[in-house]
Amino acid sequence: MDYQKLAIIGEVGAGKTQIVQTLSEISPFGTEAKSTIDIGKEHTTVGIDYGRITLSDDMALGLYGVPGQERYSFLWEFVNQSLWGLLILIKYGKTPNYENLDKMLTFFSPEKSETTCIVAITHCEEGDELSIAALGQEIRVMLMHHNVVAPVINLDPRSQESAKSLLVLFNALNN
Amino acid sequence: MKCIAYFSKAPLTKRGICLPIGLSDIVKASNRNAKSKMTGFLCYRQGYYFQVIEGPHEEVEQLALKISTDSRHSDPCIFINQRINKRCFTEWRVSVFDLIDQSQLFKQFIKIYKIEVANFTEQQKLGIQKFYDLKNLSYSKNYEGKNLRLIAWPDLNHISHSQIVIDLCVKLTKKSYPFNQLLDNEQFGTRDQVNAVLNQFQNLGILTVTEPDVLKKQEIGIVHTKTPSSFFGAIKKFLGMR
Amino acid sequence: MSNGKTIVKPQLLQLIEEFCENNREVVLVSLCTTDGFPIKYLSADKLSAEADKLAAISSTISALSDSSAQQMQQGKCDIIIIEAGQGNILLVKTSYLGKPCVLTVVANIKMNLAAARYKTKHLAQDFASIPE
Repeated sequence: MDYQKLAIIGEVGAGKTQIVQTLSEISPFGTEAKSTIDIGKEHTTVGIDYGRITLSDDMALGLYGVPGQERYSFLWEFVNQSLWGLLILIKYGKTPNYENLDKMLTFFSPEKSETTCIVAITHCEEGDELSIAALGQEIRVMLMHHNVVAPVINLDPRSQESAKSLLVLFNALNN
Repeated sequence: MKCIAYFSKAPLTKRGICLPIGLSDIVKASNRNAKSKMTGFLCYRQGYYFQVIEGPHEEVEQLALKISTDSRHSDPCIFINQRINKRCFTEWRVSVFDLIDQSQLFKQFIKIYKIEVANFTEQQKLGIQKFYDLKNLSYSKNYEGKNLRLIAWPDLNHISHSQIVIDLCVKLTKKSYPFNQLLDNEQFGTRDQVNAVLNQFQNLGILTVTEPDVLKKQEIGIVHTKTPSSFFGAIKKFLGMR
Repeated sequence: MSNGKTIVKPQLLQLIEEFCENNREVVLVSLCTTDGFPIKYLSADKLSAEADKLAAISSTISALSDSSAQQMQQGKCDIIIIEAGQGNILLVKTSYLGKPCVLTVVANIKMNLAAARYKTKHLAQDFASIPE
């Protein structure tokens, strides 16, 4: 059985649960809890969001969304082996938590493990072209410092089309 | 009317990395200038900010004060602070290019203030060099016989994101390729088309152009045609691609 | 909405301290919100853990178990018991000052599992009864 994993990581509200829901052909398995602080929505993921795409009788792609907050870093270990790809989601809006992104990049070290990595900016519909370009710039500087060569793209995790073009890019990078 | 121009440093993170933290917030805030009577531009490059503001005297003074106390940058070096009779810039612009200066904004600015720039101290020259190569080197755009590699992905919002360009980026970000190999079977288009894309990469400063390694010349002859894995094919099929 | 810090009422502290006093085999008691924020924890010296991490782990296990119980169509998750070589870890959902929470109790092997289960559930009910 050829079973590969796509790990999806990012801060609260970036769209991890959503992208798993959009891509997964099975009803996704989530671990949500009611939020006790104001995060702009009622629920937050405190475990793993799991989904799957069956490609054939003996091939499948598992989708694993994990929280990006450092106190949930013990979950990162579950998704750090033989990854087909690592997707980092960053929400457009307030300045991202670069310390946290730094910790994620240090932990996953995609350049050392030669894991295909893509960074996607979500909630782009809330911004204008220039500020999004500026955010892309900040992110690219961070990536360069980690010697991570990864494309930074815009993603709408609610859209099938946007999600599929993400997979097209991952597939092209993995070829 | 008044004009102020300065350059400053982006803050260091805890790990000592120079990062333009809050650049998108700065851009959002500075876009208010576009709605007011301010003209000029704001640029970021390699850990430094460069800004020129023109407008009514009072408003420019107030903005300059706000900027000088903004914690999102440090060591501001104001090198132009004078009354002007006429604006140099017709509108407010923001440029967030990083690795290279090919901007018309700078050429325009340097031309207008060439006397002041000529009188710069060594420190000021160093500061502005990040944004404008005063030696004005022109880059060779002939890739014949050279090896090419991308050190970073381009911003796909500003460069074509056709499948061909993406495939070319995928190839060149992984390792160096000789120019001629990129022309094989016109997989990335005609010679002119490939040149045009490579020029764009070079203008963004993400393309390294090197001489082919003499010792490895024989290796280059071996065309690396990897057979795509069955997983790759399965994903393609799932995505409805042939 | 609050900023994540929940008040530790004297009654809560008293309940936890008494629980540990009366049950010396208990090496850790922790209360956290279901979304992973620590409220209070008390642990024996040999088991030192960061409150943040502990709260995160407890919230994950609790949420994961809830989802699993529902997926396997066995109703709501009642209590989670992890039997380990040197003792048992028990997690039960509760509430405190109106917030959904998770109570985690770690008891060494000397404590009978049935007793640990009964006492943990009782403590959870006591927490829920603390007036706001």
